[in-house]
Amino acid sequence: MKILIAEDSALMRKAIGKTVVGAGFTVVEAVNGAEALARLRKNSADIALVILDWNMPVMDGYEALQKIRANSDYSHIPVLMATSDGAEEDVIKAIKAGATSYLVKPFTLDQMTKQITDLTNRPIAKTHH
Amino acid sequence: MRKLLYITSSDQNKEALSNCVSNEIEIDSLERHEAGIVKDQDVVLLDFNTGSNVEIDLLKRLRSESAYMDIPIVLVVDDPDTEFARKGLSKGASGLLTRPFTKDNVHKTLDTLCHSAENISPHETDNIVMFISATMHVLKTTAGFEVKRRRKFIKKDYQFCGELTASISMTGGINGTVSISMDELTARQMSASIAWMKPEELDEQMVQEGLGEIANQVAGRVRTMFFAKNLRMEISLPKVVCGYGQRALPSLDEPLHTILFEIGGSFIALHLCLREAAHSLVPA
Repeated sequence: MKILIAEDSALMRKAIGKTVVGAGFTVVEAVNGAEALARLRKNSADIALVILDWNMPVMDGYEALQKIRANSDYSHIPVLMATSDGAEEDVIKAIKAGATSYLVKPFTLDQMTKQITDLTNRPIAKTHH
Repeated sequence: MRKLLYITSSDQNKEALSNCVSNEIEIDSLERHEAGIVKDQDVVLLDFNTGSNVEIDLLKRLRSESAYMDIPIVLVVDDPDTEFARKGLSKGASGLLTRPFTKDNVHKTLDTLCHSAENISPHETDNIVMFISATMHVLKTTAGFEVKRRRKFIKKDYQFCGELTASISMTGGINGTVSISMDELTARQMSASIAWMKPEELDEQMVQEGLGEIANQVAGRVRTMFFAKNLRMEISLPKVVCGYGQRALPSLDEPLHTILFEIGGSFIALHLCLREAAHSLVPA
């Protein structure tokens, strides 16, 4: 199974990606919301989770979240918003738009791993670090 | 009376400085090999002739000692536009003073760098404390950097302290910019730590992204604190500039508050140029 990471920073994609691999999944990367949707359109069957940053150029995570929930082909996939925008207003806005969970940066390795495990409902295959 | 300590091996330099300061400034001096001796000083001037390792080590050693860590250390240079002079700023120096000394440049430098806390309104201090807290938390959680808080001072020259600087603009309850500045090696180590990579595996863009991410998370955390106080604040995407001597744009006509953090002999500078907006008390 795969986890789709939409994050404009290559460094953060690497960081989150290592946690994803450590949890036993394969990484699919996207640099913004539009690219994440393109990846889902191409093949969403084996995507177990979408991790979205909020602030990204071209299409931000919030707009991507709305479009994911509006498409019946992949509206069932859990979405984790992982962002530095931690204001209560932002969290409520994302949950109302269909986010399954919300993780505020800075987060620890354990926090991200727990989110992945909980949202994909499978045990951790291994840990790193 | 302000007390100035001049660390130099030149009697000629001491005399030249003495001729340029008013009676309100008391000058004491030490030779370089005596630099560890603790004096009661408000500001330290340090001859910085070539940027050699000996001079850099002395600067770092002074900054690591409790008697010196919280006061301005000014590098005395012949030319401020050299790479080593700018590098000195990233190693904990507060500013530069150019020789030959004149009454004008000595007093201008001291006035620029020696502003103390009485010039900061209580509300500004609250805001600054939020940024300091956010910076220390983000560096620890995201990069595993347990930094030590060092001096806060005001830079009217608006020059960033480091080789790489990430800035974020803010509007709303606070208008202004927050910038995080450090040398390239520290930024590389920090970025590598974020992604659990080796420093040499990162290209320049990833190093800059790591710094931008830290600035983004610091601003985001302060924004969250603002919302918790029913105040609104919006932040931009981070912008990273490279090279020593880059300057913040003083568009707000506000001073540049600089707070130094130390980790392993390297310095990370938090630069804040803030103005509380008139409508900041409007609930979010």
